[in-house]
Formats: sequence, C-alpha cells, structure tokens
Amino acid sequence: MKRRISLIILVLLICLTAGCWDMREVESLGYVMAMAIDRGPQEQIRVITQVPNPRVLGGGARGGVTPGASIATKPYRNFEGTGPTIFYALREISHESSRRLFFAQNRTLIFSEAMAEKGVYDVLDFLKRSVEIRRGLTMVFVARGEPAKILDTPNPHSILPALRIDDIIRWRGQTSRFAPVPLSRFLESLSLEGQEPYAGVIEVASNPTAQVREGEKAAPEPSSTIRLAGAALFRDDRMAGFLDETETRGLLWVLNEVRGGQIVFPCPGQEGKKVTVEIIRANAKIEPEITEEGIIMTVKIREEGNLVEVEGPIDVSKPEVIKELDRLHAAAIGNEVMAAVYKAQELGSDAFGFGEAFRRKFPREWKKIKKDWPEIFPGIEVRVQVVAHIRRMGMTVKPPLLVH
Amino acid sequence: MREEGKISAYQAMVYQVSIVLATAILFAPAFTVKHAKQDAWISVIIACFFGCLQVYIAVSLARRFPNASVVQYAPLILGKVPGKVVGFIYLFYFFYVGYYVLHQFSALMSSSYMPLTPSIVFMLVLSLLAVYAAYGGLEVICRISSVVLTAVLMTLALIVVLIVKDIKIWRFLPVLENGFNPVLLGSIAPGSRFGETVVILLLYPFINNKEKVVKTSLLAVLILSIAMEMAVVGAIGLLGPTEAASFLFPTFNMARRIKLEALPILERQDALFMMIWVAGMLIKLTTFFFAGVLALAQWLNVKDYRPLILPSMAIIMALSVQSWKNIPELVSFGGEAFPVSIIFVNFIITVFLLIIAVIRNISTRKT
Amino acid sequence: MRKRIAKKLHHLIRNYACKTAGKNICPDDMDWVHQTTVEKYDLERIPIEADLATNIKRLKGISGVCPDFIIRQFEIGGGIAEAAVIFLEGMVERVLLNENLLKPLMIHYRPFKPAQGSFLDQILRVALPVDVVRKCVNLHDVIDRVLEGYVVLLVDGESRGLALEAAGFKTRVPEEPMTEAVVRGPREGFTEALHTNITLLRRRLKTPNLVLESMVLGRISHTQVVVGYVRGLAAPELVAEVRERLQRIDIDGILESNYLEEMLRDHPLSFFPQAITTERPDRVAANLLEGRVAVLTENTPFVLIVPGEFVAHMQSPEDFYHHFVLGVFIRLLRWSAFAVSLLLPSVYVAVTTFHQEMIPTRLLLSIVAAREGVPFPAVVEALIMEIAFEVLREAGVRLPRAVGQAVSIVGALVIGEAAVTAGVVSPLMVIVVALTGISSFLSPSFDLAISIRVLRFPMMFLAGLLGLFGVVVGMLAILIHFAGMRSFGLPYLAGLTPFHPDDWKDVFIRAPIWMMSRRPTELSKSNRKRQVPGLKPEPPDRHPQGGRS
Repeated sequence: MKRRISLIILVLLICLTAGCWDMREVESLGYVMAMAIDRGPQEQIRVITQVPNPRVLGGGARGGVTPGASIATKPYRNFEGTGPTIFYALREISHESSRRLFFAQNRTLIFSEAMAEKGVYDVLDFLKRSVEIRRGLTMVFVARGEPAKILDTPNPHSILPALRIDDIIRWRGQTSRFAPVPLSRFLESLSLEGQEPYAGVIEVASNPTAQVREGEKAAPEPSSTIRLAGAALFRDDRMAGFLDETETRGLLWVLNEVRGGQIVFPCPGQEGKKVTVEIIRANAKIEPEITEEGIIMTVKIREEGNLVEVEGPIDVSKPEVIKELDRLHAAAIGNEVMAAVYKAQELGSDAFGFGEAFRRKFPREWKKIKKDWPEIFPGIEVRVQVVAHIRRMGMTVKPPLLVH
Repeated sequence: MREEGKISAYQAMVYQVSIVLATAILFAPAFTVKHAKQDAWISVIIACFFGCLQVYIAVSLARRFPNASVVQYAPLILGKVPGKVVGFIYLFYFFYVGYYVLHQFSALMSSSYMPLTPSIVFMLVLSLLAVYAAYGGLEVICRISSVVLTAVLMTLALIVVLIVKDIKIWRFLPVLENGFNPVLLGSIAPGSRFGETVVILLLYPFINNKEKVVKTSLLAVLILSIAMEMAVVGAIGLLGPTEAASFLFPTFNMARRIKLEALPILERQDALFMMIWVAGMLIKLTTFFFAGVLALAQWLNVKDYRPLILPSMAIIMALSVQSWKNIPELVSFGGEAFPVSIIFVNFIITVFLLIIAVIRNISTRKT
Repeated sequence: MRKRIAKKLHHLIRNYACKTAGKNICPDDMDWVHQTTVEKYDLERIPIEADLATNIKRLKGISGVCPDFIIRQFEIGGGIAEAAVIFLEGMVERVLLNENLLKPLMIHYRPFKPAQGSFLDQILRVALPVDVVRKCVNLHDVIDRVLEGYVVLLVDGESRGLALEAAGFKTRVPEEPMTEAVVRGPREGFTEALHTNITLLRRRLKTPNLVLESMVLGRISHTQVVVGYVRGLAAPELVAEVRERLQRIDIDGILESNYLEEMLRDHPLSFFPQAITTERPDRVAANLLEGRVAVLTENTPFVLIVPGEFVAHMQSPEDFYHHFVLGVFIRLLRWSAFAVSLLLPSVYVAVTTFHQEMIPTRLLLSIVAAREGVPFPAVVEALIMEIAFEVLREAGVRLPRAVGQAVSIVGALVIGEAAVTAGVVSPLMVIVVALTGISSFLSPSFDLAISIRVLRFPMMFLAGLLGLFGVVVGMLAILIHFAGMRSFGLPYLAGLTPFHPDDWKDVFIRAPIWMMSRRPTELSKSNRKRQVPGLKPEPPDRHPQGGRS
C-alpha cells in the first residue's frame, strides 16, 4: 500500500515538473482579430495582424479613439511581418510582439488586391491546415486599397476595427449588397469543379459627417470609415474582378444568400416616382437544361417583401395595384441577377455554381464538358424567373397624397 | 475460470455499441467519403447489412456453445493446435485494435488540441483509466459504457441538430455519379468496423438472458448505423464530399463548423465535444482491452484475468508507440490494412468456425 | 495489508481476553477492579448474594468513588427487610423514584397476605407501581441496568434484584433540524434520545410491520443501536447483511453514527457517502418505504439509511412537498449546481489556459483585461482562492454565531475586494469561487457536498495540467470509481445504470406523486407496487361516474 501511494505521488510529481506543455495563460496571448495578407517585394508574403491591447480595453473601454492618439491609449496594435511563406511571416511578428499570436478568435481575413490578383493559392494550404484558424467563422475579403490602412481606421462605436467589421457583417441582411463568405465556403468552392469562389470587398471610405472645427485638434468624428460593399469574383485562386453593389446582390440572389435588403423600382404611372420594397425572404434554385442551342440555365427565384415606401400617390389597397407592383419588383430583381450574370460571364468566373448545378443534374454530360467549362460558361444562356410577392405594407394603405 | 458476474443482453448490446462507436464515427467517414463521395450515406446502409450479417453469424456460432467463449471452444471445433492458433488470432485481434485505437487517440489529441504535449502522455492517461476500469470487471465496464454511450449519442445528436440548418441537400447530388462500385468500396470501412460487434463471441457465456441476444446484437448494429449515418450525412451536408474527404477527421470539422448567429456562445465549443469523445475513446479502448485480457486468460487457462491486466497494457502501450511513425502511415493503415485484417478475423474466421462446427455437428447446447 | 493488520489485532484481543479471563478473581477481594478494567464476563460470574451487605460492598468496589453512583439503604415497611436502591443520580427521575418506589416500600408497605413465592415477587406484585421491571441475577445485570437509567432494588435475603425503569435524564426536545431545513414540511428533527427518535418514526409508519431490532454496541460505551425496516419491503438479505455487519463491529465506543458508517461501508477508502445520513424522521420514513434499512444510534440525531447510492444523495424530502413542477425544477437545478460545484473552477482554469478559442471574443477581452497584472498562473490563482474560501467557510462554522458574521464580512469584503483591488486575483476568479461555493450549498446531502469540496482540488490540478482533457480524465476516473462501487449490494449508480425507465421518474426529475406507482427497481425486487395505478385526479364531471352532478 505504502509503495503504491508513493508511486502515485512520484508520477504526479513527474507530471508537475514536466507538465503543462500546452498551457498558456490567457493574458500571454495576442488574439489576432483580423489578418490581412499581401504580396511583398520579391514574391514575399506580407501579413498584417490586428491584436487588441487589453490594458486599454479593460481600463477605458468606454469611448473610441481618435486618430493620432498615443500608443498607450490605443486599444489595438497592428503588427506587420514579411517572409517567404505566410507562416514565416507570421512568426516574424514575434520579434516585435510580446504575446504569442493566437488565431482561433480571428473572424476577418483580408487579401490585398495585389495578392488576390496574383493568386491566393500559396497561402490557402496554411489556412486550411492550421489547427487554430476557425474556417467556418473567418470571413474572407478582398481589400480595395491598402489593407494596413483599413485595419487602422479608427471608429467610435466598436473599439477595434476588426470587431467593427464583424458587427457590420452581422447586419448584412440590411442590404445584402456585400458578400462576406466564410473561409470554409471559399475553400469548398475552390475544390468544386463547377464553381468559382467569391469574396467580400472591404474598403476605406471618407466620412462626410466629419467636421473639423477651428481650434480643435481632431474632429470628434473620424474622417474615414470602414465600408463593406460589393464582391470580388475569382477564377481559380486569382481574382478576376469586382462586382458593384447591385451586381453583388444579383450574385447573392442566385447563391441563396440574400437575407433582406431594399429594392427600388419606378412607381407605375407616376413619372420619376419610386417604390421601395424590403426583402423579407427569398429562395432560389438553378435548373440547367440541355437544348439544341446549347446549355440553358434557368434561375428560379421566389421572393417575399414588405412595402416600405411609395413616393407616388397610388392606391396600394387595390389587389391589382399590388399585382402590378409585384411584377415590377420581380423585374427589378431579374435585372439585378442578369447584371451579375453578364458581369461574371465577362470576367469568366462561375461564382454562381452553374457548373455544379449542371453536374448534379447531368453527371455524365458534365464529365465530357468539365474541362472546357471555363470556355463554355461565358456563352451559356441564363434565364431568370422571378416570382415576387408583397405581403405587408406597413401601418397605412394610403400614401399621404392620395385623395379620394 | 472466475465468473465475471452476469450481464443482461442489453448490457451486452451496450458493450457491442461501445466497442465500435468512438473511432468509427470519427475515422470511418473519411474513408467512406473518399471512395463513395456524396453517396457515402448509401455505403453506410450497405455496411449496416454487412454488419448485421457478421453479427448474426457470430451469434449463431456462439449459440452452439452457451457456456464458453470462442477462445475456449475453438480447440473443440478444430482440434487442439489449430484451435489454439485461432484462439490466439482472436485474442491478438483485440490487442491489435486496442493499440491501434490508442495510437489514433493520441494522434488526434496531439494534432488537433494539444500539439506540444507529448503523445505518450495521452496514451498513458487513457490506458491507466482503462486499466482501472478493467480491474472492475465486466459489470463495471458495462455500467461505465452505458453512461458514456448515452452521453456520446446525445452529443452526436446535438451536433447534428446544431448543424442541420447548414446541411445543403444539393451536396448529396447527383446520386450514384460514378456507379455502384465506389459505394461498395466505401462501405468497407464502416462495414468492417461494424463487424467489431462480434465481440459477442466472448461475452456470450456471461449473458443471463441469452434468448434476446440475436435481437440486441442486430439492434447494436442498427444503433451504430444510425450514429454513423448521422456523422456521414452531417459531414457531407455541411462540408461537401470533396472537402469532407480532404479532412483527416470530418466529424471533428463538423463539430468545429457549428455556427449559430442566435447563440454565438455555442460556436467554437468543439473542445467540449472533444471531452465527450475522449470518454467514447475510453470505453472503446476499455472494451477491447478487457476482451483481450479475458481472451488471454481463457487462452492460457488461468483462473483470474486480473494479474494479466498490467502486463498486457504495457505490451499494448509499447506496440502503440512504435507501430506508426506519422499520421499518413496511420491513415493509410486505417484505410487499407486495418479493415481487411479485421474482416478476416470478424467475418472469415467466424464463418469458417461456424461451417466446421455445423459440418462436424459440434455443440455443447442441451437440446 | 488490511488483512494482516486485522489478523494482528485479532491476535492481540484474544491474548488480552485470555489474560483477564484466566486471572483468578476472588469476588470478595475487590481490589482487582482498581488494577484492571471491569469486563462483562468478570461481572457475570459474580452472582447476587443473599447477603445485602456483601452485594453493596462489591458494588461499591466496582463503582469506586463515583459521586453519581448512589446506593441508598433503607428498610422495607419499617423493619420487614433490609433493602437498597442503586441508581445513577441524573439518570433517573427523582420524583418517580421517591414517589413510586421509596414511598410505597418505606411507608405504605404492609405484608397482608401469606407469602406467595418469594418476598421479592410479593413486593413486585403489590407494592411497586412501576411499569417496566427487569430481573437481575448477577452484578453485571445490576451495573448494566443502573448505567441505562434503571433503579435497581436489592433486598436482603434475596439472591435476585429488581431493575425498575425510572430513566429521566435531560434531553433536547425535537426541534427543526439544523442541517436540513425545509420551507414546507415537518419541522421535527431527531434528537439525541433514542426513544424519542423511535417515537418520531413510529408516528409516521403506524404498522406492525415496522420492525425495530435493538442491539448494544461498543465495549465501553454500550450504545444502543436500532435497526429499523418495514417488513415485506426491505429485502431480507439486505436486513440480514446490515445485522451481520453491525454485529461484526467490536469497538470501545460509538459516539456518533459515523463510527458505524465507516465500519459498514463497502468501500472504506472511497470518500463518497455510502449511507444516507439525515436528521429528518420524514426522510427516514420515506426511505423505509422504498425498502431501505435505517440504523438509529443512541446519542446522535443523525440516522443512517442504507443502501445509500449516489442518486439518493441528490434527493431531498422537500422535493415531494411542493408541486411537482417545482420539484422537477429544483432537481434539475440541483444537478446543475452539483456539476458547477465540482467542475466550475477546473473548467475555468482549463478554458482560460488551454482553450481560449472557446470564449466569446468580447468576454475573452475582458478576461484578459482583468487578468492583466495578476502575478499567478490561473491554476495557482484558483487554488489560492478555493483554499481561502474553504478556510473562511470552516472558520464560519466553528466560530460562535456572533463572530461568524464578522468572519463573513472580513472574508467577503476585506479579502475578496482587497485582493482584487490589489491585483492579486482577478475579479472573474472571485466570481467563479463564489459561484462554486454557493452551488455546493444546494446539495441536500452534506456528506456528498464534502466529497465534492475535496474532489475539486484534484480536478483543478488536472485542469491546470491537461486542460479540458484533464477535466474529462478526472470525471471518467470518478465515473469508473462509481461504477465499481456498491452499497449493500446495490450498485452505486443504481437509478442511472442499469437503465430502468421507470426509475428515471425520480432521478433528474421528480414525477408527480400519482405517477410514481413503483418502487425503485434495484432496491425492491419483490414488492414493487407502491400505489394503485391511475391515481391522477380528475375533475368530477370528467369522471365516468359523474361525481357531484
């Protein structure tokens, strides 16, 4: 008995002295909240990581920061590293950072425009292999402009630019006019034969509400702000081009990613007046067909919306008026989709997954054409069938000017 | 032979499910999806039938010898020396899977969770727990298994519930894209693992309501198939077949991929699933290890298996440490050599024994 | 190892017994009692002599100079016979002694009939208005009865004595149990007096099938122990096992029921409670109705109930005194609190030092900010705080009530607040420790709460070493330990596994009373029916008979 106990104690002691291999105190880590990847000179990889400064967050998490604030009160730090591979570059940062970088909290991944254009393949393997990176939660973006600038855009509401991006994504359904995509989805579309990846677009926009008064050092409003808008289409791992905001929603309609947003179309019979509908839910599917003329893709979209705004004095209590509005706003949706399709065909990037839809329906034929798909895709005919319904119309049936 | 207490047929079922579950749902989907792609769910159904066949054959064999285990009656069927050889194959099989499981466990722990901790630590800790449980005997193991099994199955169901909204039906299309052969090929991995339920050959003498064994054994395979189906459908529906096949542990990535906008606190909780899975691994290792030690004791004709526990575990540890050098070796072993070898033991040898027993009309059952 | 010690002890005891027994004792030379212990078999050899003076001399010799050992000599009926009453002052009711014993014998006794039988029988038949009377034949009987609170009457010329029940010592009246207070439910608790406790139990189970078997344990303490069960509900093997295990106990004294519990255990080294301890008669009654066996011990309000499996320690009688929905809620709450009190500190340590990805981003940032500047690793911080908490708790229990208040102020304000302000511990750790402490008070079983308190430390240790993997390893070790345990033949995990769907009505939830038609499966194998099925009450108009229409 005594021997057994002493053996147990010995084992415990060995564990204690040799143990705690993977232990890392919570405050000793630098939590990467956003990561930007760029090409450096001579094929090098340049990464920028944003790490919060908890000392400031704990003490003064009350307000935002103004540009030019001293480092001591800035709630985050951006570190930059350059190296032949992404892992090398990330480890370069440890020469400057007092904390070990930790990636599992990261939700934002930004490729610089240059990086995206030259191809992101070199870093994708690391992103897929890494144990720490959460692929389902990390959103992929292409930066318009210098990524370092984006990550250093101050803002009064969220303490870190990274958290601000995260919050904006949370309300993406307000317009559905930008296209954040999880890294997992990005990787999946890259692995599919009949689908190309896409990514959101992030940029710095100037903030027109900022007014610099005389005698004040800095404006209370920051002069620039982070803005998510549009999408970037890829061809394999290289960015083929950007979609504007309308086209982006066209893409999202087909991908079933529209979660809300506003549709504006002309008011029937009222020159220059407009009607606005808010999207409540939408559903789309692609139906491929093989005809003598070639491949036809029919995109069928069902949408439901609420009437939010009518500029012209029309009587929306009448069912036939609503029917007319339904038709018009279906047409508006169709236009968005077609705009996206034309642009994508122009860029040669099948981000819609038309090829995948075809493969699922005609697996045998797909085998024959899959090699030539990049050539076939720009030429296929795409038809859009939209069934749109206005369900509710707010608190009134009559616009203010309507007189009976 | 010291009586190891009696268990009910349902406890035996728990044992049978436990002996397969933890690794099967974690490792087998990768192999299945690799071959069968989006049709992996069909492979699982085929595997279910194959599993039922194996366990039914095993039970038919066991029923001829109600009071002995296969290690004890193999010499009766085949004659002394060949019988002992077959007995040894069975007992080695248990140890063989035991050390394979131990290695899988440490490989996953160190590659996914704690890269800096030496893998021997995981092996040591898990095997010590298994030894502790084995000292308790059959009844104790059944009790542990039933508690852990409930937790594992409930967790699996919870994962599926949490990801069900992200499962896309189109990821399962087109059905049978490459014909039926890949589907059959894909069913080998789960089918062979379902065959592990033939451990009933060893448990049969300890069961007190033997008339229910056929039912419960088939039920065990059914439970396993459902669990496996959940894992496969979840992995394909969430990750897509290509992605699912490219991950080492798709079920794990499935848990990692949980995404809830309403309850973000439930995201990234895969370490909690790791805890449940560790428990599952423990019962898997314990059941195999215990079966092996029991078989060894019967093979050697010793009264008590307990003195054999520690030396056996030491051997398993040693084999486990030196058998595979890296993950690719382990993975290719798990995809190729392993299923073939366990099908050999679970199916071919069992069928062989049954045929000889029927031809020579050997049975110890009172008619 | 254990066997070796037991053998040695047995050997020693036998030797000792031989030595004293072999000694040539001369009853008239009582000097030996000053040199060695008085043993039962020594006294049993000394009969009561017809000569009163000899008896008194011997008794005086045995009792020494104890001031409470009183021998009162008197004459019966004014010179009919010499007599003496022997009793312990403080153990007997003085009024009873004087009025019902001394008075009738000394003043009113008149021999009015020719003697039938012996003189002693005659006194007993006509002169002593005392209900319980026992006969004594040797000095052992005399001493034994006196020690139990009887008054022993010795009469000159009679070689027997009479022991008359007149016990009347000070006892506590039943009051609300300190450890198991309820909001609704009976407020009576057991006391130190065994007969009160038996009465409390009898009042709840008015059936001749309530069997109470008495035995006296403890070589020196002579503690009365009563085994209680309901005949027909408790399995006979269980009762026999309890009886047998109790009889095996050979100890000098039993001062509290834990003395018994430690020796009744199936797994003496496991520190999980293997018997239910309670001060509540209703809880005992409820458990007897499930087929368990109660062991009541003299001089302690704590009654043992066996078998005490794990689930039984999560059940409180009060669960059944409220509406069942509340009962379910409280049960669930209790199980979660159990998990929290065992796991929270270790999970906190594991998550913050190993699995930072699990914490929601904003919470993580505030944890980091709070931990900034804390000099200790999280696991050390947790250990320090938990130990501090245990010290405070222990201090609060031991200190007089008035000072206890001060301790909690010092603990909560000074130590907690100051430590946080000084940056020695992080505020989150204080919350964790506080939550853990509060949760541990939800346990209806104090014994279980103690086990959990102790277990928390190895769990924290494992968490600091291996993270959540360590936590799960600890939990599995506990599970294996539980699975291997039995309490009086009942698996310790009974109720949870083996799985009986019927039993789950009383594990994590508490089903309505009208649904609990069966007793626990593993416990009452033969007599399972608790009540008539279909007792669910219905409004009269829905009743087939129509009710009041």
